[in-house]
Amino acid sequence: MRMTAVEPALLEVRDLRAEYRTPRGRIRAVDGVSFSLREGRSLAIVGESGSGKTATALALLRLLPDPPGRITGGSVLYRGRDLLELEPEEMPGVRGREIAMVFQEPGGALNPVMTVGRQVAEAVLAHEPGLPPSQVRRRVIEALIQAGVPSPERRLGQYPHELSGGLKQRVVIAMALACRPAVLVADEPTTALDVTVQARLLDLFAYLQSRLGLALLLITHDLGVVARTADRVAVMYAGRFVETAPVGEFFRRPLHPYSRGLIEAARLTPTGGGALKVTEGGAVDLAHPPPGCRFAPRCRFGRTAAGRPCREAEPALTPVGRRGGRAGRPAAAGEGEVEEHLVACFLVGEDR
Amino acid sequence: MATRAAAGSGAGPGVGRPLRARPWGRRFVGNPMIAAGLTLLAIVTAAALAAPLVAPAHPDELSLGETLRPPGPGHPFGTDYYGRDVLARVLFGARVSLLVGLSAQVATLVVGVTLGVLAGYFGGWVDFLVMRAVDVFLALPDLLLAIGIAAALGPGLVSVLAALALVGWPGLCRLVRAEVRAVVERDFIQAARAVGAGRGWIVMRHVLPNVTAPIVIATSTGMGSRIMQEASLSFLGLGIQPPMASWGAMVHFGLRWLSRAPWLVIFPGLAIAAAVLGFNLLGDGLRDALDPRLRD
Repeated sequence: MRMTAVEPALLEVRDLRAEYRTPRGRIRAVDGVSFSLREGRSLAIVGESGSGKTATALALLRLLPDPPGRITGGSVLYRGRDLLELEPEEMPGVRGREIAMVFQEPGGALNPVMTVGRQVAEAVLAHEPGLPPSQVRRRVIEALIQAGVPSPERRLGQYPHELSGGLKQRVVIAMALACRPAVLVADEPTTALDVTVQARLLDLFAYLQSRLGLALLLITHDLGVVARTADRVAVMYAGRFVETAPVGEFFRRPLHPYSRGLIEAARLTPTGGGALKVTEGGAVDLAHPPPGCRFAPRCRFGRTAAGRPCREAEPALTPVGRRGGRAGRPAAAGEGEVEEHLVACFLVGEDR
Repeated sequence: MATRAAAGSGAGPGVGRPLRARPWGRRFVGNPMIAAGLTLLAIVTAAALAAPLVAPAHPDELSLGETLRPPGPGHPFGTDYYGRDVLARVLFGARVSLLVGLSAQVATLVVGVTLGVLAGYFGGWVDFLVMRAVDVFLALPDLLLAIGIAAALGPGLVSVLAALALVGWPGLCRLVRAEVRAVVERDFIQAARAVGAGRGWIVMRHVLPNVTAPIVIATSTGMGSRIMQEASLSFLGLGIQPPMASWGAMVHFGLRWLSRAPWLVIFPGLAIAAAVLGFNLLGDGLRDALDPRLRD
């Protein structure tokens, strides 16, 4: 639709907003999030608990539990079609078939009273109701093989409790793959698993991306996972992206104080006088966000930021020049995000 | 026993999570309550089925020459005021009790499960309306409500069924709603949505199979209540009408001869007790067997 030389993005999210209505007030869990995702590429959204990562993922598929959740604005363009404009009855046709999702707890994502074969078959039948059983079976086995489930034929008749955690997650992935989606949203797919199983699942994601051209939206708090799997990173804080960059650039040159804090925490190399100073404090109360930059109360540069409007104005996500200078204009939503490094901080470009 | 440990660890909120974690048989064999309940029910059912074969006489056959005979040879349970054989009437009464109990329970299930699932799954105003209706029904004593309905509709089989179904559904509905709400919160429902499953599909394939255990248990104990309530209505003259043999009606009509012919009340009373006890024991046993929270 847009006049660009680059192929249009498969999924383009613009200024997505979602909130939870609670007795304490409206919690703006997703507050103006924009990103785009191309075929075969992957974006990792990183952030601490309560930063709005999962709400973003659920809002994409309009799976946010309502009440209390509600999407309040923005658009989710999938192949140029705004999913937020669709009738609710049209969403099941999109879920799984176009955009599939893998959840955090593989144990909970499987129905305990249904065999593995039937659950994966269900994903196929949800979109192709009339498919003859022999073909359904073929598709189920195909999906299980793609997800790297060993001896898939034998698994068909097994119940979830008979499988290990890693295997359960592979079955969940097989369910997601069964309808041959173009986008896979994975919400903390490896968090509940031990490290070796994690590593193998991440290899699986990389394989699926290159082999099936799957676009991957990975939600995680684990920078190790990001480094291994993602092409691009978006750091989320208090419902907003505070920095987004290609993965190499991000680890080489993190600009936002929060990103730096996350990376330092992951490296377990606290700087100077104390452990992990930057990430001190808890998550922001999103019902009553602080004025100005939402990270300011926890920012290690907060005290030295004299003369900066950190406590008064909210910094916009702005492209950074290649040499670290601060470009003058704010980024248009979703614009040229493939290579660009964007950050929302008044201090970037300062000498510090 | 590895399977058993696995079954226990997967237990979420709600009853009877992994129904098939162990082979069905092993959980039920050796449970004395289930065994006792099934034995009693087998006797009652056999009596109902074999009534025409084993009854010493036709239940409606009058024999005015031998009225109010005490139990003895020829009439093991004695005879009533019209000379009808009490054993034959108790046997045929089992048919009425079981059939009425079963039909009323089926009606209860249809109404209670449907409304419970709707309320639990959709929540919001559907839930509000259904639950307020439940509150209204539960605020009235069961029997009083049944009497009112049966009296309003006039005595007879159909009004008994209607009354019993209307009395039974609110409790079941509340139970089913609570179970459904617990299941709906679980991740696999969200996962099913995420692969594109529609509402009806999710309810039929994911929600219902995960709430069957409590429904099975409630059905068994519910059958006992239905039989008891049918007997109560018939005892009050609002239920099954003569000459049809119903245990409750037999007690009703036997009462006026209580001092002269107590067997008219004792035997149908025992039959009611046996059937109700059978269903209650079975229900309790099933609960022990199916509820992971009550398992060791």
